[in-house]
Amino acid sequence: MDRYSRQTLFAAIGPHGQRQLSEKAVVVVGCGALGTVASQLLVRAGVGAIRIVDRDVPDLSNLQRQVLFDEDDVAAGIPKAEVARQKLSRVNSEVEIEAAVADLTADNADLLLRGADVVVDGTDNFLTRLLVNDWAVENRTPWIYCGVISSQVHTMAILPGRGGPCFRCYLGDLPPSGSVETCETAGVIGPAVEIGASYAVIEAIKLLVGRREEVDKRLLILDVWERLERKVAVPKVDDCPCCGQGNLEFLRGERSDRAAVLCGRNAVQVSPATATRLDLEAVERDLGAVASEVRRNAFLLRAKVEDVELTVFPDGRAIVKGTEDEARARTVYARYVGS
Amino acid sequence: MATVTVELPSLLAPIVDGARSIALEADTLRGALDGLLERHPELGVHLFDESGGFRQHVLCFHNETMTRWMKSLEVPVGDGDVIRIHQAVSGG
Repeated sequence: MDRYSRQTLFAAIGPHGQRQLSEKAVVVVGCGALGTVASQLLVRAGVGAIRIVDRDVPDLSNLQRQVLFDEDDVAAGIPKAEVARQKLSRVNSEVEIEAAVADLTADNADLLLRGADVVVDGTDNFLTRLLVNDWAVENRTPWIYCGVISSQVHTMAILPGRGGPCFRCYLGDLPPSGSVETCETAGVIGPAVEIGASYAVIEAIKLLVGRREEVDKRLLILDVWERLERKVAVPKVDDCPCCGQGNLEFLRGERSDRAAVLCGRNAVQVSPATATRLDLEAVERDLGAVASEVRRNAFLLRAKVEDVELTVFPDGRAIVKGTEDEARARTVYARYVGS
Repeated sequence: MATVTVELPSLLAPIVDGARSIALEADTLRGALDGLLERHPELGVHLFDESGGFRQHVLCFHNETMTRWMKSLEVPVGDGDVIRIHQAVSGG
């Protein structure tokens, strides 16, 4: 029996849409909660090729919602993108699956995103999304924003070059570090992830099967716990720095968090992309439930998170002690300080 | 004065003793937000920056219009108007 028979019976896809799908390439940026669900849906649906980009390795706290990983993967310490490639290759050997174990940055964005017919958002921070948005606007490539936290989902299809808004029209600019709740500080439930990623993949599939006119370009806001739903038409901002003025500062590397290994200290310093003043008391409150040995004075806050020591300064800088891996330090920063 | 309702996201509810919606009397959108802060000053740091504007990641809607796209918050409000506050979501 045809692998895709149930899907091609769905009239909006049909045999023609299925063929279209099999000729298209998707890049999923981030292979955490959203990325694992989205990758799995796309591979099972029969997309032609998928590149999965992620900089991290599975952790026990991921298993509650990151559907491609299990306890063996945590023990083995194999990068998430590679675990996903191996597992999804067994799900659908017809799909060309590439694992890119990398931190998406201005330096490698073109290399990692090139060839995508659609980019699907599985990241956990706004900095990477603004980078993806810059690239997508420059290359007129659609991408699907999706974010989850707590029981909330926000998702929006962004179709650059077609008169609609870009992500920066919506967000404006990068929120100051520490101002945004993260899944590590506010939590997240699995159903929110599954629903959010599913909505995102539906819009991606519409694009991939050539039904662009059916893509809903509004921002969808859900609270899956409270069953609340809002759809917001985000206007294009004429003087948007990105799609209005063509200032692709995230893609040019002019706005990036800077990570530098502190020689001989087994530590990495991460500086925020946007000048900021952190409220250390608020950071302490957020870290309370997820960190240990939290100490704060007038000059800094120090806490143990995962297997590293995090020292955060009021100017938004942080020193991640216990690693010399810049990507890992940026991950810890994004998780616990936010970006 | 009109009676308006301010709806808050679940992430901010613990700050206002679990309340998800707050009824206020106001003439304008600005007046309603000032009233909200007067009643719950602890919300201020979460919603507004040092210049008094909404923080970058805070999305505020007056009925169906997002305030970021308004020229001014000095717009009249009517009975039954709803002011909804969301925070942009970055997790994944």
